[in-house]
Amino acid sequence: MNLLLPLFWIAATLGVYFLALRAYRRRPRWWTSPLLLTWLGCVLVVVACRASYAEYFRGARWFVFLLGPATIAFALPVYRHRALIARHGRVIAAGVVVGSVVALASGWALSRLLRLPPEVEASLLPRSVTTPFAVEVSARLGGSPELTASLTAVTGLFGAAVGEGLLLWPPLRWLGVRAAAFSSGAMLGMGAHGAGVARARELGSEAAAVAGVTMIFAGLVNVIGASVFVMVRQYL
Amino acid sequence: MKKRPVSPLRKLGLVYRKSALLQVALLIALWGGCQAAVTATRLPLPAGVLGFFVLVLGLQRRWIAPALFHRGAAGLLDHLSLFFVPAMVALIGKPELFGTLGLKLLLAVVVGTLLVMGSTVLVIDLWLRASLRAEAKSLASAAPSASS
Repeated sequence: MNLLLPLFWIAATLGVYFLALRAYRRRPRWWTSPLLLTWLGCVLVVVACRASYAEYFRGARWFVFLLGPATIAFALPVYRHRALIARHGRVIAAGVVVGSVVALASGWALSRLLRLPPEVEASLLPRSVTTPFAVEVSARLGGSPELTASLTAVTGLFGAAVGEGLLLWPPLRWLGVRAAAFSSGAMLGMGAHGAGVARARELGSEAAAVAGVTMIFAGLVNVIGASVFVMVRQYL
Repeated sequence: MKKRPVSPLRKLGLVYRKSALLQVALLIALWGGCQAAVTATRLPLPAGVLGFFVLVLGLQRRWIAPALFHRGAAGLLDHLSLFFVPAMVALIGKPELFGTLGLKLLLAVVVGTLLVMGSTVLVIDLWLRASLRAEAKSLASAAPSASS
């Protein structure tokens, strides 16, 4: 029984996920995204079984474990887009550095303003980078990886739902920003990571490639930044 | 036509190149090796990030053929949400998030995301426009008599 229960949770998670994938294929919208439906579905199953998260996690940890190998897998798209990186790597890096600084600064300022507890603040800061990287940053800053995974998912869903619609916002128009595949892709990759890359695919292959590269750059910059920050803090 | 006997090793290679699952297994092994290296050297980076750089370097130097990991990596990245959604179920153990704290966090995410997206697109747009202007200028100075 003790051995079978984790297997049950693995099977239940897989089942919910494949149902969610089918729903998304039939009707691709942001609110049918497998991310949202799998989340709600798994919560429903766990609550309906009157199980605790700790019980569920004995099975579910095998999925979370795969986030590490998935980080390595990002090497393949980076290699595939090496020509794009050679040509536009500098402008993408500029966008990533500014976007990351704004993400950290806004997270910090809003935490002060809303009086969030420090552990919650540390979980909020890495929300704008893709989850495999975000949970590592969160752990380094003393946050809760689970809360970070949730905030990151909400960020992605919201950012992808807003999408290029943000370019119609008057202040950006006054500054002369016009919709273009390249800048929209970078905006979606930086602001909405995985969900943003999916959204960028609707804008064409250039936007999707830029979004993917931006997302990976942002993850690397933030993890390396957090590692350096923790190391420096240790010696101060 | 005489059929050449296929060596078992070659057969295994062919099966491997088609199997996402075997490639994922090799990615997991690579991650395990990086985890051991990170622990041994006390490198502050996550094992996945070290593995990422090792693999990018290997691909670029042509030590590793992309076909060795192509299917496995695509499989992992296509189903990335499956690997972090289980962690999000943890919210059921945090009832405090369903009150004011949750609303505050939602507000912070909404405002923060708009700021991040807006500033990113602004920087990229300004950079691209500046480089277009510079390009036009250098073209104009390179061919001053073209129109006369």
